[in-house]
Amino acid sequence: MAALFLAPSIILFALFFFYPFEQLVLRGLYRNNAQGTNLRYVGWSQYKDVLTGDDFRAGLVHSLQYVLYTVPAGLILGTLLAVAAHRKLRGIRIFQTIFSSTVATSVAVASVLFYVLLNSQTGVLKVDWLNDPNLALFGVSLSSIWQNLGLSFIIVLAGLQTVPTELMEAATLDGYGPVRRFFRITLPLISPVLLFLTVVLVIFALQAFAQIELISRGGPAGHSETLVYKIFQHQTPDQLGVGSVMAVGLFVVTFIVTLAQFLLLDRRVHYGD
Amino acid sequence: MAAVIFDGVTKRYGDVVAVDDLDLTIDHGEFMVLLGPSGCGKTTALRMIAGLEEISDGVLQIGDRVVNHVDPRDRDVAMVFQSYALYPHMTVSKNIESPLITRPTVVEGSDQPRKLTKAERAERIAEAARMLDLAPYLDRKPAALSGGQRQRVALARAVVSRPAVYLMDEPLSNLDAKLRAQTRAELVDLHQRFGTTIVYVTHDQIEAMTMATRIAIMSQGKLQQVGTPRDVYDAPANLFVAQFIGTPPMNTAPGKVSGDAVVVGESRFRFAGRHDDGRDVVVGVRPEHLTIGGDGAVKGVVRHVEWLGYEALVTCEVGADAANRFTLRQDASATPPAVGDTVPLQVAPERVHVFDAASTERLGG
Repeated sequence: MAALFLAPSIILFALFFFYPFEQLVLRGLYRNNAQGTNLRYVGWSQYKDVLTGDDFRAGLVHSLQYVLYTVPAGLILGTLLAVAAHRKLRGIRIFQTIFSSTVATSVAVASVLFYVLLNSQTGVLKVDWLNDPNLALFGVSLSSIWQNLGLSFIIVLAGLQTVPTELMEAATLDGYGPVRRFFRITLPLISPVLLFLTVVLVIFALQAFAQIELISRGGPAGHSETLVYKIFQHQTPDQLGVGSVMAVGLFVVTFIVTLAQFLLLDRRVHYGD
Repeated sequence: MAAVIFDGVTKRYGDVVAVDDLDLTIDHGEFMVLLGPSGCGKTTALRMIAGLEEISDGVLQIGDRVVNHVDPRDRDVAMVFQSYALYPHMTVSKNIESPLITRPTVVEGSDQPRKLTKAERAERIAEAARMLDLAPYLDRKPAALSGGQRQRVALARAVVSRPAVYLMDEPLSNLDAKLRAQTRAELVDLHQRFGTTIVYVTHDQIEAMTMATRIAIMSQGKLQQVGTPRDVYDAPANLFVAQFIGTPPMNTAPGKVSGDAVVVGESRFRFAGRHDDGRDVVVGVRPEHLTIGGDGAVKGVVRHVEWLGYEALVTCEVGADAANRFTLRQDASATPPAVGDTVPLQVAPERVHVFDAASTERLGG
């Protein structure tokens, strides 16, 4: 009976996750020629070569840089906007709508927008970041920060709305000023929401692809090539094995990072009664 | 010395007047209960004392200070909320300590309030915990406590800073009946021990009657009457107070003054004192003052008998009008009348209340 009830989800998982993942892992054990034929078994040595190689390491560093650029900024800006919009004022809904609007924007639109903003010749900002090896990835990350802001705002605002007004009033009577109220009461109470948002933003950052392809094309000279971008570059018939190994590597990295966040942050999170 | 003075205080939200020109003096050491149905403005009045609501008009004083524009933390008040408003992420100990951390506190031997040292805070927490039997729970979080224990933590958080005025917003409404009765007694105890002013908001007349030194009854933003529980029960200032206080409520019926009685249909309710002949009035009699018997000046047709074990509530129709239902309390050992019987009813003239029909104000005898 138990197996019967579990069957729908097991079948779906098997069909759309376990089987493709197994194929991916197996694909990493083979090399092939430019036509995609003549598969040759090379075993786990390909895993060792690729995962310890410079290419994978560079991609991993860029991916983690992308996380560092986008996640803290997204969390802080989203929280600031949500705190600003979490009050009873006439017309506040207009601002709430504006602040959350980027959630309805596609990656393509956001990317084109920032490509135009950052263009060194015609751009509004008149900066040459996209040609600067040290700033290209940062420039791209601005579009992600902007685009994720709507989601961050909505999630944090929803969290703020669950904090009872009476707690804020009690804290006011206890002598807490606005800043202390925020750090001593609000922040601990919305910590589950912030943990969730952190995990989501980290996964988004590790998966970022389209904005890189559209804004910097991984350049200059590969300085904004993240792991996903490298995997994409290896989608040529002769490189499928290498790309598969990188994809498995990305999966493991994402898994470990997410697990670490839960283990490290969960202890500091207060789940209500 | 008065603890809190409302002088013509009004609170408006747009066009809605929540508190209308309130004049009320709460004396030092008094247990003042603000009583009224929901939406009467009692909680708004309390929140104005706390500084959680701005005052639209009038002057509010705490002690000798006008506090209209004084920050809540500098008003020397503590509040117990209906939901207790405990910080769920802090232990009981941290919750109790909370008002001591940033607020200047008055310390014995000095008039100047100052911040307490860590040792002084620990001492205050231990003292409050001892007083409210919370010592075993200091390291727990509120979620691990029962409703009654949470309520005591909220009280401990209020007493720990020894404020000049305690504000309580329906603090017992989330407790079960038994615990409520017990906590009522504890609050009265606490009040007697500290002698501090308490302003207590409730819609529950039992709480008001049992704990208050004086009750302020409010309706639709307006103060209806202020007085001791006995005053408001024995001499309600108007029809609203008469019907709000007492369970079952006071029996009332419209009638006309004729000589020394109010005539309701065929029945004559004799009153003490004098009123103008022919005046339209409302007559009122409390259920416990009405008995079966007498000379038949008042007659009623029995419509309901509710037997409650310790007494029976008999409801009669008076003056041949289905709207005039008078309830009386009958001793449980007496044989109740049968439904449909016509019975004579009597009430002592000095127990008959007479209100003006138009203004609903009490008419003095």
